[in-house]
Amino acid sequence: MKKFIYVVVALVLVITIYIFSSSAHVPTDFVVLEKEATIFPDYSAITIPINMSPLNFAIKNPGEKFSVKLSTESQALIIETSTPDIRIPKKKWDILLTSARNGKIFVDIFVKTNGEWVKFKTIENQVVAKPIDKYIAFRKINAGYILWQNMGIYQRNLENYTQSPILLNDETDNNCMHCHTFCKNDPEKMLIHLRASPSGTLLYNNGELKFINTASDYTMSAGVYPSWHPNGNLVAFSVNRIKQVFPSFGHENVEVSDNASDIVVYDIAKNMLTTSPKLSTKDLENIPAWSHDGRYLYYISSNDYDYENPAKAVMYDLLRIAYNEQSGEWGAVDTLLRSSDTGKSISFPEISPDGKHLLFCMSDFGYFTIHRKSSDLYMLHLDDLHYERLAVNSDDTESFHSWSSNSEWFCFVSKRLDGLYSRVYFSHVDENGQASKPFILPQDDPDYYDFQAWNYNRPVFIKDKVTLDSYKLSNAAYSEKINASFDPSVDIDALSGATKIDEKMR
Amino acid sequence: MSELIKRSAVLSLWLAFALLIYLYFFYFIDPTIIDFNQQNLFLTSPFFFQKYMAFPGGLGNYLSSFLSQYYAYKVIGSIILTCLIVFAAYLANRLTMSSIKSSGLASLLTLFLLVNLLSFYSFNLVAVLVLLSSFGASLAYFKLHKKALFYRIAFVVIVNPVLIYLFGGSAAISFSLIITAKLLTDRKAQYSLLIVFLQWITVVSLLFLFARWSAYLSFWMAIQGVFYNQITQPYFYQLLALFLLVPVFLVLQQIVPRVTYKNKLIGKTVQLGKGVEPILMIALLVFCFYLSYNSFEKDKVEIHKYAEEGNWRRVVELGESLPLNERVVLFEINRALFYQGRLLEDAFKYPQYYGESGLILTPNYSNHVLYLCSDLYHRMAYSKGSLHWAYEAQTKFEDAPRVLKRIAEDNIILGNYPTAEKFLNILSQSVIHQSWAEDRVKYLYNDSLINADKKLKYSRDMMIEMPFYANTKSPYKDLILILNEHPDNKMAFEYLMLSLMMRHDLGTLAKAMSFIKPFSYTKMPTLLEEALMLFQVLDDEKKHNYPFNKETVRRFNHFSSLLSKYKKDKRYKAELTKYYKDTYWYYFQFISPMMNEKNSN
Repeated sequence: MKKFIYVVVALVLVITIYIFSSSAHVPTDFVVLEKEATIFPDYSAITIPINMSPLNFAIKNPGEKFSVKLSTESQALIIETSTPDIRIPKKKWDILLTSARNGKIFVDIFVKTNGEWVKFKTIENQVVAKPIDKYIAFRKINAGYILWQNMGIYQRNLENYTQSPILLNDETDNNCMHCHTFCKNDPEKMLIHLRASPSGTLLYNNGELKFINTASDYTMSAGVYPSWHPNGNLVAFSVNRIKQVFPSFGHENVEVSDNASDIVVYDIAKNMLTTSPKLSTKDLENIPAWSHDGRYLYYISSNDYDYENPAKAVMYDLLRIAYNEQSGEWGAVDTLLRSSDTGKSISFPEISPDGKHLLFCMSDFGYFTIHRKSSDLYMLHLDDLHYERLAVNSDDTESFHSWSSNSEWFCFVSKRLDGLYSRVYFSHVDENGQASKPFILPQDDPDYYDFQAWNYNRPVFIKDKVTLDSYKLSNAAYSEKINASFDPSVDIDALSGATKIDEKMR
Repeated sequence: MSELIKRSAVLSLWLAFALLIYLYFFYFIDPTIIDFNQQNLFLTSPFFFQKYMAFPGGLGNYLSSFLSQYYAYKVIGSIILTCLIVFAAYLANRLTMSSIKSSGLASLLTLFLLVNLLSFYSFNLVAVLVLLSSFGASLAYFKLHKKALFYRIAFVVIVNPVLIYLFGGSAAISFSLIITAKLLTDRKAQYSLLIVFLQWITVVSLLFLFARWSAYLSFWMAIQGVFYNQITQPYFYQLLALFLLVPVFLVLQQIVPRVTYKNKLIGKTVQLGKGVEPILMIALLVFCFYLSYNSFEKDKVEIHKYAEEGNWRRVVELGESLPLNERVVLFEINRALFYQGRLLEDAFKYPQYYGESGLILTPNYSNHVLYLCSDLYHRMAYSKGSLHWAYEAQTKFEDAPRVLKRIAEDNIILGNYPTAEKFLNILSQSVIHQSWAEDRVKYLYNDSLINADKKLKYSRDMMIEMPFYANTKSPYKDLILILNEHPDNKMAFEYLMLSLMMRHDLGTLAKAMSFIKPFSYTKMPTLLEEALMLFQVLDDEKKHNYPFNKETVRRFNHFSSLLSKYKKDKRYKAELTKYYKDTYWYYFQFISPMMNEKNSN
């Protein structure tokens, strides 16, 4: 027994000595460099929300040993490692963020090369006390343009690295699913389209789950690009005749465009679709987006589609139409931005929840910007209607942006890393509407993006986790589909509803 | 001593089996062909592991990827297959031996079934690993069989969730079947019904819960496990038999009474029979090889492997032995003919039942031709077209190494270096493909090195600058546009001409003759001459003056006269076939799907 006690005591001593002797420390003897270390992902000079998961990174400067000191005015965290991957412990990171509230985090990077330590210029990152929404929901898809295989709608916790599926196509006969949309970032109000069989829209509204068929005899397609009215009862959809072509030249791999499109509005309580002669014209009305107060519906439209020359580039303008929620009446159409003035085609308007800003894409032509290298993000300030190109852009595609519920943050996708796959970036918007340098969605493994070979498609903020389980969602997809009716009071094209499609356009 | 001899004899028999199985897989099945067909990839990165561990049964798939990547090496692949088969048979033997003395028939049948299953080029190794996991769990339970009830219950409660999480529902169900058979037939076992009840309740509840919690599978998918979507596979019943074999054997051992030979003569004969048992077993194994080896299926895969390697002579040889009513066989033969310089001479020596669709696969694409669609365009130096179809192939077969390589290579050609780098990064994590990736990394951002590489330079020189959109339904239109920009693209030219012949579009073919100049054929290609002659006859305007060979004119006149006779008397078909079955005229009249369509209408 005595022997056993001696052994235990010796072990405890050895472990204690090891722990104390190996505690991390920054080097005291080093050469100071005036340049910043190269780190991936680029987490330098960025603005971080107070509740963001640890920004793990890899040091790309070669070395034998690495030491990183993350500090604020009152706290410091030192990581010493023999590999360039810097993984920050979650609890310590949270303490650091809290201590840096509305202040800065300083990142000092030391690299030991040929037995000598060098210290790179300190990286300074701003911490903003206003939190970011806890989750994003996104679609995971491969690079194929015609076909699909492993596809799903996922959610990712931004406070840690947990990612879980909301619905996978494994459970719905390998279906294509898309356009996951939430009302005011609320996980309890969501819709997802299923395109193949079973086809329809899964609508989850305050605990009630339905499978809706938004196609009707009076619309050219089922509802496509959606936008929830803030009242939670209306959803504006575009209806589209979509086509895609594959260029044999240049850097684009595919071009998606429409032969025709209109806008309809679905009333959830009445299970009825309606439209207006102003939203269903011969022009290409598309991509609806409700204003924060529901008094306007923003959308894009183009009148230069040439049926004789369908390959001709189509340019879209930004418009809005007034809407009276009580009477259901539509007001005047107002063109906010003309492509002829901007020189670029406008798409995907998204209004901040505080109603101050409208984020949108502009590209050389067309509206489906995710496949267009020229697509960049722009901000329209709704108080004076001036717009500006944001500094968040790169030489590659930027698209699919979404506002956080507090209007402080927006996320978007960019293909800047490899020119093929879209990844999620975050940016802070200050009181003057200026966007901060974007940073990529953090991952536990800093090398994650080197191996990730799929797209984060259409990321949208949600305030909390979608708790509705995939079992119920997939079951609903096989339940009896509810056919939406079409508003009998609408009289367009002799009740054709949306624009009548010429045979030559089919 | 006699026990030692007996053990040595048994061991020798197992070794003989192992050797025979190894030789069978090495010389006949050839794991490299399985590898080519299955396109296995295993990456050493933690990211790859996490991907598999995200869903129940992921470890089985992960291990399967790990082992099957070595199919790329004939020797190692054969050793792996042999070891797995012998190990599974050994475990089956242990499972069935432990209840009552057995002749080892269960293990022999397990071995035969596995030989048969692994002879299928599409059979995934994961099913074998799942089976092994259930055998392992069962053996562990058998060790506890006589222990106190607490241990047995604890085992059932702990093992089932682990088994389901690591190897999927079918592992747990197989384990349940084995211990059910064991417990219900072992009269000495205590609390059998309780354990069996507990086992099944645990498994079914766990599968239900896993299905509820995991978005990756439904309850029925969880129950089916490795059997999911397998019912249409040619090996489905063998797979089912493999999983049922041990439990059925455990039951049969108890039901079928042991034979005692009262008659001395019969007893002696049986003893004598035991002496020849090993020879009989080996004979049965060889017979099993005979039944399992399907050279036809092998050829169907190998033709693509030879095409990939550019061994066009073998492609033609194999193609001729395969049924030509398979579109991809005609596709490969056509490619081989081009590379042998015979496409515009001999294409109609093969019955081109699919017409243009057997030449270019994009108008009727399916999952299994996506890579071939890419490969044709890649070889034609139409890199954007190739890349498009490679992305489609990657969507369907996410980790297929040859698709990943194609994407990397096309992007290097197109100068999309960051994209190429991404795929090279992925491949560099594979033990098998690392060296290939490292070799290609040198070309990134290095235009001078690319220009020094003959193949890459050719593809770059042939790159399309003139804007057009790919026409997947009528690819001949793309070929015209390619030739407009690069009139020296011989493959595009020959494919265009044959395509137009197959479409019966002789007017466009006549116009496209303007593309022939750069290719300096020593004589007008026979099929072109035949097509133009037909065009001259069919064209109302008749203002062409092609310098036809006199012999061709004579043959055409003869063909026409026979055809006229055939229209009155169908017996002339034999004569037409005898003299003209290799001609465009015959194709036009009798083989072309367009003509058949017209006739059937």
